Amino acid sequence: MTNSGPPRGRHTRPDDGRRRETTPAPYTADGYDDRTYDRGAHEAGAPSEPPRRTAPAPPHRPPPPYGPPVGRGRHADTPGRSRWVTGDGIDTSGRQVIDVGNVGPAGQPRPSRRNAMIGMGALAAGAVAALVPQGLDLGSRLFGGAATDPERENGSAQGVALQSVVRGSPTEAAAAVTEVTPSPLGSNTVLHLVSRLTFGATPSLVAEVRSMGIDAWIAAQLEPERIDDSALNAKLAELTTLNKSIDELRAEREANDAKRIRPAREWAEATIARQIWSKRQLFEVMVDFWNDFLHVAADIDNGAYIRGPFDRDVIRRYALDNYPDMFVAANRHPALLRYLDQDRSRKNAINENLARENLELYSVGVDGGYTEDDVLQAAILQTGHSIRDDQYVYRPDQHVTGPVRIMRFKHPNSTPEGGEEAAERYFRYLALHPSTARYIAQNLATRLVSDTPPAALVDAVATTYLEHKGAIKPTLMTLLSSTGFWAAVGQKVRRPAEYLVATYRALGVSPATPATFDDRDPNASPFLQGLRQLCDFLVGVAHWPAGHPTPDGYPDVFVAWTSAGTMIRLWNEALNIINGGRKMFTYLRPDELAGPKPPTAAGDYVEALARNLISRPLAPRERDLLLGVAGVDAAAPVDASLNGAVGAVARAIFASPLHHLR
Amino acid sequence: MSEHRGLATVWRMADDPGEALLRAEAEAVAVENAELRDRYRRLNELEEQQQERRGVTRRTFLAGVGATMTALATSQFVATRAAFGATPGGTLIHVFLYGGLDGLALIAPADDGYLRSTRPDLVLPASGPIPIARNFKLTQAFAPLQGMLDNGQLAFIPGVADPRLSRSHFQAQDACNLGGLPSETGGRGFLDVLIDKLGPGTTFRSIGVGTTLPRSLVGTNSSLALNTVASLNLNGDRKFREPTLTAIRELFAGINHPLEAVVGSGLSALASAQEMTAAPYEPAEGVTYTGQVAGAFKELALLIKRGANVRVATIGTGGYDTHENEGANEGGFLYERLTDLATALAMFYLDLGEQGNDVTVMISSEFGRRVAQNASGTDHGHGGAMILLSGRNMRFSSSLLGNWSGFDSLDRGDIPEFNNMFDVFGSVMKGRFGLSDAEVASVFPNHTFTPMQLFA
Repeated sequence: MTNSGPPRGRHTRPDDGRRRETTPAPYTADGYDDRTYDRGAHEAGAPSEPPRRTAPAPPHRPPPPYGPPVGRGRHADTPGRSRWVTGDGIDTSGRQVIDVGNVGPAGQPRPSRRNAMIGMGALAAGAVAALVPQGLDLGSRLFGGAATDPERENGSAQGVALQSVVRGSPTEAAAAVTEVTPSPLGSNTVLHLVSRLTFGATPSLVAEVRSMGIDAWIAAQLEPERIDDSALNAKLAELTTLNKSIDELRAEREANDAKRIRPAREWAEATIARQIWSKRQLFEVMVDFWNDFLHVAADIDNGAYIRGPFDRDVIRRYALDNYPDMFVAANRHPALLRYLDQDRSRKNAINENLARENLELYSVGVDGGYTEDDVLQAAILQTGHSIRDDQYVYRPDQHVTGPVRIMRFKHPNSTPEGGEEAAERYFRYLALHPSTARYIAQNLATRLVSDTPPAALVDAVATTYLEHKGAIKPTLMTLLSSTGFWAAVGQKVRRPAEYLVATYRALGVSPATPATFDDRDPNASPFLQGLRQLCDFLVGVAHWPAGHPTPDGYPDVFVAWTSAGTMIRLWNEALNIINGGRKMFTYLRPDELAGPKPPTAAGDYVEALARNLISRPLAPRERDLLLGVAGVDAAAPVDASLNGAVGAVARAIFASPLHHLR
Repeated sequence: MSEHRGLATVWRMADDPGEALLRAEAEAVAVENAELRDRYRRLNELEEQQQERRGVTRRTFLAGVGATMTALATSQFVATRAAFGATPGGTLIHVFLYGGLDGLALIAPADDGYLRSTRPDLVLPASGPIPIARNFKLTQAFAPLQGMLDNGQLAFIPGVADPRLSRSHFQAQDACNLGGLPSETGGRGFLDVLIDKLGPGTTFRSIGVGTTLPRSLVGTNSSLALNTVASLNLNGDRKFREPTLTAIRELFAGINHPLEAVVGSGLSALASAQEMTAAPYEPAEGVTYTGQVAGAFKELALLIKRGANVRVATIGTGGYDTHENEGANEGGFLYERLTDLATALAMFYLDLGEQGNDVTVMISSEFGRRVAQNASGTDHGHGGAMILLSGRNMRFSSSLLGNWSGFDSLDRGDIPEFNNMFDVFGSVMKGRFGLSDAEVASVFPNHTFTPMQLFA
């Protein structure tokens, strides 16, 4: 009811050069080590340093933050040491095992919105670290030989014993040697992999990974176009606006209005459907990640025409490809340009909103080494990027010419017609800046590893990102080949949308409409009606696709999502789904959840139920607590409905850490 | 599963290290461990140095979390207090007007020629607005609070800002809610730090009315976010309710993740909420709550009147980003919003009756707006206005508090910082909770706290 968040709508920035505490920028471009940081400048193609254009009055520089510098500079002093299994540098796949230790030290809070949230995560995970039993010897890893079986089954709470001889692929080797952080989720590698690279385990998915092997399954997921998703796509064809071009969406506006079809909303609904039912799960996870990272809110002027196409033509197009191309494409897409006012930037009234966020949020990060002057220069260089009829257009007449220098990027920018290409060079310089590599690595690891990923892991991922020119697959493979990834079992908490999607997946809900459904909406298929309800629910828990009003995207650390009200809504929603609440979808009956012929002893029944719902064996204590919900002993005889308690017990499973954590 | 490995994987299995290599590796690991430990120690030291200004080191912070969790495991399982009475020590409610309130549409010097010339459509009219102290006038939208104004329970502060606040909504909102920059505060909200000073309390001692917790309450005290008290209720067959809650609580026990504390406080809140909403809530006679802000106040009234021991609460409400069609006068957009706000506040205090005597409301926004209007609204500015309300036990020393130096010292068209926002926040806390200057100062790191005379 009361939204405590900021108001909807775009934010604007001061443009008068005053009060720039937003960007402390303790590292100026000139402070960089040339050996590391000059690469982009050479690529920028500026033969010699042009005279700097007349700069406006120097912006107010904030006092340096107290204490020693924090952030990436610190790590630059003490680069993470990595030991490579193969020992021969970086191979083409980027697959190395990287030993980065267990949950690392809490990262330093940083002065940016997204980083501040990461800082919050650090606070929280600091608490985790304090609770970890002493005696975990950080960094004790041996690599080299063969693992007998890279899949661990649930071991002791202290994690698995180290194996002195390890063999196998880097991911499997890393998985095999890793000492897992104690968690109720145990130490099963397949389940850990599935809980991070998909929106939730299902029995058939777990069986698939077991039969293919971790490596082969990852390899298959990295080529989503080769995974058959025709069943879902046939259902999604009921959403008529998904594959339309911007021009078509404009042309069909009145027809869509008449049928109460809102294309941006349909895109959001399709996103939820894909997360639940797509077989291209890793792809959907990465699409979700990039939509948070390169966030464009759906609620923008003419978002109906441009937000879905942005997801399709920018985010999905490059989600597993490479970031420089994604970043350039985003800066040539009307959705981003409109969201951050680039289309309002004129020769005589330069708007710096997008130029600033390009630096602060979409590339180097707020402590990535830029100054206020760089923001202004970037805003000048980006002039001419505009929108006409909801399409991107480059307008030479609005481009401001003259030499620019942004960080170490230099360009003569001498002609109006050349402004677009000059800006592209700048975008590519930014996308491959070491600060960008580190910032993306930090965010990716926050998504896939923990709210406080180990610094050495982040360093290694950033290194691969740079070595591979921003290619996403090798970057991901480095992350997956690190012990830090495999150690972090149960260290992430599902955000509200992730919880809802995982619950649908766990219950095996099918998008098929049962014959019994009473369809009263002539303008929307039953499937679409159901998706609309799901999206409405996610609006209610403040986590629907592209719903975040501000360009920092949804936070990805659990402390940002702690709400008693939301938690209880999710638990209640779980019971609604168990009971088949949205009648346009097809459900197993509750008395089918423990299997077609459920066990007749209560203890066996509850264990079968957990295996089916969360793919995990229960510890005896967990089983007994769940039996307590039904009020029976393990040996008690029960019928197919657990004597009427199956729904309550299933909901308790979904309300437990076994389902909240991932 | 290993029998399905691909060819490349099998090839890699060929490299099989010998004993010597293993020993060399072991030595390398030992060296690396020492380095890692040294590095972690350095990082911890850095972190503690950083946080010292807040009086919270990493160590004390972690101890604080432990204490919170211990409290949850014991005292907070106790159901809510049976006694209906005023909350000991009082309650502070922070209302955030998101978007940047145009302070000059709320209070302004009476009959000011400069305002008439720079904002002809938005200046308070000659007749209608309510006279307050120091020849200022208050928008007529606040007429519902006339009684509290006359009683010394309503006051305004003009020109409130801080050097940290830019004209970016969320940079400024963040700094306001954290009590400083993220780098200065470690990401903890200023109200969360305040709660440290208030001693132990119940599950409801700090709550954010809304879907997500505001940044001001983010931190270590497991504050609750909720839309309505009644929504804290587990659905399904009643006979499974208690056993389910017991099972959930036990399943989260000892999970090695701070989620345990969050779930614990959520479950305690749920239990208390059930008791508090067992009977339908009937506001006091003559009280009706209409609209979003009013609905939030209704939830707080329910909690306070039914003894939930709320110490700190927040309400967020948007719509104050009035670039276009601002409508500062009767019938206009902003005027109507302010009317809703004033009505909700009047109803809230009427509903609380005696139990509102120790309730203080502090209303702020991320920044003020420019003095001059644009076409039909105002753009982002700097110094803004704050609104304070108090129960009967504390009165304000004036209806217009703080400094005001007029329009001669405008900062490029904006009202400058005549009064520091964190000095206002701190002085309200100091008065409400009887904190020392040093305690207040530790809530706002890197800010030199200068107490203001607010209360009579």
